[in-house]
Amino acid sequence: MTATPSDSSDREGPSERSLELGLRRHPLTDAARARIRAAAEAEWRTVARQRWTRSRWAGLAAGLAALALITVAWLRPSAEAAVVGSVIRVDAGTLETGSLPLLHGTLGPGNALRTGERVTAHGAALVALTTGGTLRIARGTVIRTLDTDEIELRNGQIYVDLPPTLPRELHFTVRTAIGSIEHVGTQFEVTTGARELRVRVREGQIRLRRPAGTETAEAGTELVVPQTGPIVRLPLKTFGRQWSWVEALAPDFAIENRRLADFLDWAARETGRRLEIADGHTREVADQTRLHGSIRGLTPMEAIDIVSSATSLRFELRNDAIRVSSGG
Amino acid sequence: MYEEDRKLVGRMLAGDQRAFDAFFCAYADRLAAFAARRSNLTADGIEDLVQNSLIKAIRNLATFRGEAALFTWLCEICRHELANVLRHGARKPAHESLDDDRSASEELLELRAPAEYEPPHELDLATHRGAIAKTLNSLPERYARALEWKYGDGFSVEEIARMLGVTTVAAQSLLARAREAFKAGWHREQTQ
Repeated sequence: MTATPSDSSDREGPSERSLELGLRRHPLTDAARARIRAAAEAEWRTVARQRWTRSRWAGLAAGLAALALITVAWLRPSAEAAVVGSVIRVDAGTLETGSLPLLHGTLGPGNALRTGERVTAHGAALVALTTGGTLRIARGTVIRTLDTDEIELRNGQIYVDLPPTLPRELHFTVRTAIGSIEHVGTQFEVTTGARELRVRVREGQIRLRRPAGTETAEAGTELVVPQTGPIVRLPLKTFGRQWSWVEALAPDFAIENRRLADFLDWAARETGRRLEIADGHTREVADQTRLHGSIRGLTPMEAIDIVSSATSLRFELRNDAIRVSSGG
Repeated sequence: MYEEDRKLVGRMLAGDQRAFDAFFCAYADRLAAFAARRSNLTADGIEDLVQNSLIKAIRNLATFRGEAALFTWLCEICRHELANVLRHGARKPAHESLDDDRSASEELLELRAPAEYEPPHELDLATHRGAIAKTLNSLPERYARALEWKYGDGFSVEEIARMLGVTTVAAQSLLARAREAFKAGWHREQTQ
């Protein structure tokens, strides 16, 4: 075998430069390094937080501490593979899991999505989160589940719906190579690629953290976040065709024996519109009317059509509101 | 023994952001380079491997006692992760570990060149890397490791001394002997 004649000193053995050329490697791109950092930092925060929590217990009596640890171990037999959520639906495709080549599996309705998994959505999917709320994943998206309340969006588009009824202390975080998004009781959509991150806030408020600082955004705002440079804020409609992929993945609402008022609340949230009840009488009718049947498989807009035709109330779909009145 | 590394880990466990930054900056790229020298994984494969190794290391930070250098400890974790990947048939290894006490053979040596090299240069570089790796494989482990740290990972003599647990003068002396041994090994390879 002959080596590259990098310089004349190779006749006596390779020079230090030749050794460097032969041994040095730079396999990570900036984007890859940023992704690794986001995942490693998330893990580190979890470990540090757990350790801090544990240290508070250290002062207690050994018996109590042992009992607490046994209890925790019993309640969480596999902390490394906690359940992030349950797959409700996968439209026209599969959810492929596996962090290593040739070790892929698929997830379908009813399967648990666990921490530490890399998931590629070959079809649009709906996942009910263990923390409460739902995660909708667009076709072609790649995510990694870091914790029960933390996911990494590697590429593609997701929609997180965490109803305001969830505990305030819940901090769901979406990490990307460009920045991390934390919800403050909200619905939001995140899209990321190699160069740009887009966050569209449909309800509530989110907090975006990145090395350059922290930003917040309210409902009706779109943030365009480049890898470097200033963030662009754009006004955003919370309703309309741009949300159709999200509405197509809305979780089914079981209407049997539910109040019409509950259905209206659900339909308004899922279509990104305000609910306008015309008057007290209409409110009373909506509260007292019980629905029967099923709207399974229908989009929220289709469900509104069906339900409105079955009640005595009049539904008007305006741009940003659903107005319900007693008719006339 | 490795007091600085132990302190860094202690600060990380205490939630010190600067400690994490220092840890990541010091080791992520070096770990990726370590993996790249020992495998022919794709860029995605290397990324997954480094990410999994770092996550595993962070989960087990509390078990780091400072009995070996932090980088050595990380490399061991990365080596196990890589072995798992290869065991599952994901990729065929391009060449063996420099630390393996095995005689070099042709089939172990197939190294990748960076994308910026044009094909003819790339071939030369691959051949060159193969020759370097083959010679290193024939050296005592301590020599090969010191040369890899110095010329592959860019560690300073002081850092190498710290990782080996010897004085700077002793590390310099070791590197000098390693270079001499490498030169002799290189001659042997060229004349065979």
